[in-house]
Amino acid sequence: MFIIDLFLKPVFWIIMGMLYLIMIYSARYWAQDLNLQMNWWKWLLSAAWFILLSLSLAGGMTLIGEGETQAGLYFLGLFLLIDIILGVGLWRLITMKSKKKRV
Amino acid sequence: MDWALALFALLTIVAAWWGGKQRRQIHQNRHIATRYPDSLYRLASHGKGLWKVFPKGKKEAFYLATGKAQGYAGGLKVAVELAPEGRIQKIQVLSASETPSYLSKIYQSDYLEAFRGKACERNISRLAQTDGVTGATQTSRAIARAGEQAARRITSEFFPDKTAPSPTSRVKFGIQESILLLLFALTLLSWLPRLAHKKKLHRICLYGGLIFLGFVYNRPLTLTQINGMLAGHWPQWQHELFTYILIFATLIILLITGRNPYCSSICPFKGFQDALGNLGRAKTAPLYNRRLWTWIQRSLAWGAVLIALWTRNPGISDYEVFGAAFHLTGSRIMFLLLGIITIVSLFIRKPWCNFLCPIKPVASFIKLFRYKMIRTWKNTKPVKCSENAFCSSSCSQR
Repeated sequence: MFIIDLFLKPVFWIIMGMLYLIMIYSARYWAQDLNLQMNWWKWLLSAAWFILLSLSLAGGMTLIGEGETQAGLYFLGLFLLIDIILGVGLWRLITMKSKKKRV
Repeated sequence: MDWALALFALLTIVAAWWGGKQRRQIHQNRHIATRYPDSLYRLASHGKGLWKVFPKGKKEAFYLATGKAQGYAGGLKVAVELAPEGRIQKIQVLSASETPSYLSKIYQSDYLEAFRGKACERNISRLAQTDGVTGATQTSRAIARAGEQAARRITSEFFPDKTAPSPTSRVKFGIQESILLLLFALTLLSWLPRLAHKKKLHRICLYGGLIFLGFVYNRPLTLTQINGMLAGHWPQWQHELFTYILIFATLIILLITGRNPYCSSICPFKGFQDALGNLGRAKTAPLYNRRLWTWIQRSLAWGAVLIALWTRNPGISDYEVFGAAFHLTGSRIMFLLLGIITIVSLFIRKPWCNFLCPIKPVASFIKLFRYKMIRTWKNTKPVKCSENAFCSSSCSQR
């Protein structure tokens, strides 16, 4: 347990942090590749959505990890559904504006 | 082919209805015999559904009666034990054709315990108004009504002076019923051929249905309600005017116009899918498997009706996701199905209506019979004299 607490737990969070950093850093390049005309409020909404998604996964997984499997699954099911619906709405909002600009 | 299968379906439904009726008569008194076995009790019958019970090894007898009432999806039968001094000592559900998730809410609460010790002079059905279970309101009211019926049966036989005054059955026509009638009226208006803003009116009906029939009142039309009525569980019309308006207005308009007002403009789940479809720019499902899906949809609805009629339990074959969507009540499978439907609705137009909803096949079934009747009537209508050679030569009226 000592070895896991001392080495593996920090390693997990270091990898997670790196992944988040790569994702945030590369977001502007994805937007460029997809020809999205981003502005400050679109970035703000996208960031809010991404934080909500991360919190949904974190909350659900924490509940499962603490032995509350049923609550965790319900939490994940509900919030991932909300995330998907909001994600589709956000995507439509972003692409709708960019199309108008292209015309 | 469709007509032959429709006739076959009708025959099987009639057979299931008859078989279910026979089955219920055989099993009717088995519940009492199971709960009060001869080894522990001696039951002295005082008429149908009324006993004086002598527990073996005890001096004091108590009274037992059964009562019935209509819940959300089907009938409930309860047994009430009344102590000799006229107080309720136990109330238990003997059999229920109710949606299982509503019934389990009753069992998880201490609702049945709330009746213990209540004097039989009281109208105990009023208890449901104060101590009713949230999320299972209609079920808790039904238990209270059935309990009161049973208690009244005992008091009128053994304690005539303690019989509670009969509650007055007032017709319950309120805001829910008014909104429903308004939605039907707006739907009919939106069908007028030369009306401007037809689409806007249709949208108002659809989203009005979503808000009021869905999220506010959670009272969509379900196959369970139709099955309940077919199985003989007709709710008291004074209390359930909304259900009667919903079912019969849909049926009458369908028979007169050949169009289904509920599915086209009022269904709250259609409004839900429509909103999601607009959000995700959903497209119509590809046509190559449409016929197969239509038959799967029809088979599911047919199977649900047969099971409900055979078991006389409309809730048992309930596979509609409306409870999960608007009331957050349902089994895990229902929530899973709701999740899938919600996600698919973002990309494909109305997947539930097109592939799974049992109301659509029921309406199509009625429409098919309507069409056949109209065609038969037109064929048997007497032709004009001038069109008929026999008539022109031998008719006495000419």
